[in-house]
Amino acid sequence: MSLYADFRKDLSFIEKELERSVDSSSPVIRQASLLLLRAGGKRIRPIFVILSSKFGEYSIENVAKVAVSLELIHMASLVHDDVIDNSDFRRGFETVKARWNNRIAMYTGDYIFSRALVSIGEIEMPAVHQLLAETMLEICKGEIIQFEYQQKTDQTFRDYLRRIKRKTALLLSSSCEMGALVSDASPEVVGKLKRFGYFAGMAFQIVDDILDITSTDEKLGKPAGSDLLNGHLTLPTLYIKDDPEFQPFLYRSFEGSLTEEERSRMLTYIRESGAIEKSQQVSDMYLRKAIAEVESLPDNEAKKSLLQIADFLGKRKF
Amino acid sequence: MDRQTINRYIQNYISEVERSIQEPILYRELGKTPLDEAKAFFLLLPLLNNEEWTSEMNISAVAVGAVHAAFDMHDRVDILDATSKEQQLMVLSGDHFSGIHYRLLSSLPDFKLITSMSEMIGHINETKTNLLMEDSDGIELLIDSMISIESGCIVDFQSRYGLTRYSEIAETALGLIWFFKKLMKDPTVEQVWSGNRIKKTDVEDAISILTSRLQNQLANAGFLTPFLRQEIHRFATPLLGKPI
Repeated sequence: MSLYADFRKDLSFIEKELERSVDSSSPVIRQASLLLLRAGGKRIRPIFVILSSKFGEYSIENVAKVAVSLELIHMASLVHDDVIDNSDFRRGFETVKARWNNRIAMYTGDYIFSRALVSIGEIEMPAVHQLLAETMLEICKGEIIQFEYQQKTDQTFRDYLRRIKRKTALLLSSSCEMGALVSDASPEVVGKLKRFGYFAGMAFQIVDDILDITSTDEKLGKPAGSDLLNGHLTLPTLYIKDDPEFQPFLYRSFEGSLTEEERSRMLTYIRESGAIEKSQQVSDMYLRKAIAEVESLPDNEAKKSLLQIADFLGKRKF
Repeated sequence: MDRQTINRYIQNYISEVERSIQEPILYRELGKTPLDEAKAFFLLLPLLNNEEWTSEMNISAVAVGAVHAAFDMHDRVDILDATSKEQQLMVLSGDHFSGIHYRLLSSLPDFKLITSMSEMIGHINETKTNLLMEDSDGIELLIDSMISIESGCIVDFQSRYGLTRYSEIAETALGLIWFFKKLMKDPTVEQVWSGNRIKKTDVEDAISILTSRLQNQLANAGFLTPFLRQEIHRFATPLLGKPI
């Protein structure tokens, strides 16, 4: 992606560090970790760390330690999420739990998580560690709370926004904040980048939830509408959850009794309901806030890249 | 120091770990997380033996307890079917406890211990994976693996605070306790290692090797009071002399 052109070299350094970090002595863990790394992903967390660090004294060594740690934490959480969601595929690749078993997925996730802490352990800055520890606990708390909401239709927009804050926005916000902290940027810049990460993360997750409805099984690497099938209401479905014509789909999704044909009709119904456009407007609102934070930052190449990324996040189709 | 005092230390420590890791929803759904008294005893052994025990060490010790709780929770995730709500929350519990351990160490902050403990956690997960996927390759390797899984984090803690003279005893005793549990088909061990084909004869050989090793170590542990040596023996060999 041309969007990455300005920092491709740094990203490729981080990619190598990621591979090195999970070079386990256990053949199964090594294979599982490499499988996860090679499945790709957008590497949005490392990119945010790189760009945020450019507002202070940039050192690729320190940036890489933070970026590797954040990406590994994200990866570890995905491995465990696949156990929780009983998912056999992610991004079109077989999951660790499907290829081996649940326990191997638990140990692989825990191993990757431990490597994340080994990486960040080399950064001797209390604020960075305390921020990361709080972020991890909040993310986990978010998942625990998600259980309370699973298959519940009496949810509010506020519940949803609080959930996606913990699920996605916090780690992106912390990526920016840690990138800025590790490069010793000014407190004012740290605050702006932290808020940029938060707003961009909210927009990113809303777009993700929209794509779960509007994209195809092939592009998603999992069945479209998976959120509903797993009992989770997202922004588009919150808009129409009380629509009498939609409700039978909703309840059958939660029961797990939706046929393939019904799934297809349900997706069409949501797409044509206007809920997608309304959700997009909320995402756009967050993007505008993200952009406003970046625009008030000192001018440099990283600022341009952050603006491009914000634009991409709002329009992405994958 | 008498047995009652030792138990009080252990129970106080366990309560402290429980308070640190408690999360209301998890507590409501899964109940109290069982914590291993034997591990607590061997972690606290230097304190029971009147070694200096600072508040920093106490926080680190609670962090080790959180790691053990995380291990236990993830070990209880079913190999093939984790679709129940209870199982799914066990996954999240373990993650939450891991996060607590990191928060405790970050609060000190002890960067050296964060790194060394994480290296150890990684190694323990590698060892568990190897044991789960492959048949045990010789008795010595099996013993080393179980010792590492059972005592690795305690040994790392002791190493950080210059208490390594306690490590050999903790390793041997906690390894021995595991093999005793395996021999007696203790449900906590069977649940985790049901897929692994560890031979009964290997378990019996391991018990014999570790019992004799522990006796030698205790005979040479002049730094421990006779009462503590007796207590170590009681913790490590709870089934000796009983019919199997």
